[in-house]
Amino acid sequence: MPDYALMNQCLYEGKAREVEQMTRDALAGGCSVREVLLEGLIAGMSVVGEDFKHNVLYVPEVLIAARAMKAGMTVLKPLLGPGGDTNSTGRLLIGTVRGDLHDIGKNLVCMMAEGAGFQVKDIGVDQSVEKFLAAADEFKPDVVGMSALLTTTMSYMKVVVDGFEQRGKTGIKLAIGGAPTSQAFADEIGADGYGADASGAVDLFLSLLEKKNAPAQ
Amino acid sequence: MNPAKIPLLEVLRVRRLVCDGAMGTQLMLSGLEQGSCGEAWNLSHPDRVQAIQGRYVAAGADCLITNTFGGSRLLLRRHGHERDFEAINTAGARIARQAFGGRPGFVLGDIGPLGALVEPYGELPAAEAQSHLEEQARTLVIAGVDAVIIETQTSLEELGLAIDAARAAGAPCVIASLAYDLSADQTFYKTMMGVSPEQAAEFAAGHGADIVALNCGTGMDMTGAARVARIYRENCTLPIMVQPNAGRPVLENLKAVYKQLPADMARGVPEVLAAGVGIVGSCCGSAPEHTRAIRQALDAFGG
Repeated sequence: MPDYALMNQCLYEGKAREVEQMTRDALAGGCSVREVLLEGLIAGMSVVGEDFKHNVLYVPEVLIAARAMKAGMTVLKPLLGPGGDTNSTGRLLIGTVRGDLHDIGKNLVCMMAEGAGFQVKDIGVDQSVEKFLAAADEFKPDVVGMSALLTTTMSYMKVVVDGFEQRGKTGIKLAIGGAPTSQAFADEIGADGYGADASGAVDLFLSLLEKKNAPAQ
Repeated sequence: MNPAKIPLLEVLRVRRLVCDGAMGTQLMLSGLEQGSCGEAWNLSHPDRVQAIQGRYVAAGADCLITNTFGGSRLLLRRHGHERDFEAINTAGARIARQAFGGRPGFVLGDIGPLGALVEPYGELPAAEAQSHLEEQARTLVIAGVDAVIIETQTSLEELGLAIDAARAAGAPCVIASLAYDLSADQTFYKTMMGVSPEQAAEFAAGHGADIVALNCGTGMDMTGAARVARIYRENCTLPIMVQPNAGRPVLENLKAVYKQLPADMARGVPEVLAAGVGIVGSCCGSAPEHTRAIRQALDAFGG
């Protein structure tokens, strides 16, 4: 049994080489890919997320931890194989909405979501509703995340939400985030949820997945 | 140079100054479309930019910040205005000077964040960041600004590069301004990158900035500005400048708007001045009326 607590600690401290080696060792010792992913990597990243939410860690530490996570993932990814999807937490399509060129926060969300086991498709900044819809058709996400930093561009999120609504029952959950947004805003535009920060966003994606996958009433 | 020809730092030794308020929202009120390049208006609508700054002067601003926040080549490129880099920055300095209409006043050449994280945390190479910052600082200094203000900074890496760039460009005065967010438990302020006011004060002083400042940030109002200013005062001897937001944003017609009334904002001014602040301005959500209220509060405090 590998020392997952130590592995989590190394990931927390951003020791990429150690995390990579421990991932290899755990596999060599007969642990399943899924166990190493969940207990070695994702568990470590979730502590990082919690501490980020509570201002114990800030962006630089999160980025370094995410890099260590990635180092472990490079070992696991080839083993996930073509059926790799079955091992992923869910599929996230994400972008910054039209008129807004900011992406530091969105990129952080991508990293944290990958750290939680999501398959992430990032379509970048300044994205129209048409682009979101086309990307969703292709990628088939469980959740679509929208980001905006400007008080003036956040209203475009409603255009994207409306665009998905007009599609009818796609089952895709819509999440929003970014400095000027709030739960009240999410409610007002009809989004399924709001994440206050990168860590809160991942919590939100997970809870939306649960709702999505819950058997229909 | 400003007509008075007395350098900003010397004036600050004898009196406190008022700086202007928000530019972006004013540009939009004047017709700028959301998401388009406000800095490009220095060339396409210089009259409107000057009219906004003129209103701030009329409201009592001693300092105007040039409309060049996103004026680095890197950011202008995103909007397809890279070719106009030099003209936009030069015009920004000229428009602000003209807005004073011959009266004495200080033009602060604005450099905002590059919008990407500098390595080792992000992917923007430090050398590239440095060349963008140097180029913008040089252009603003040649255009005759009285100071370079480096605003909305969150990491000491980028701030350090920008201070170096302004110094290398021969800026007469360098202002280092950070954006702090209020912690989840509302007990302290740090930047997104984890920089505390204590660290920033020490860094700005040690790195050769002339004035340490704060602007914008989540949950940064006039009262929060006083809190951070007190920490600055305890940790360095540099003059201090603050530009807090007009309260906290509220939701209105699908937009986050700052609605703190000028009088409510000005109520926090004495506390800020008591903390030793030398320049008081304002950021998101503020308008000339806020500047006027700050002016009155500052004058009532005894300049």
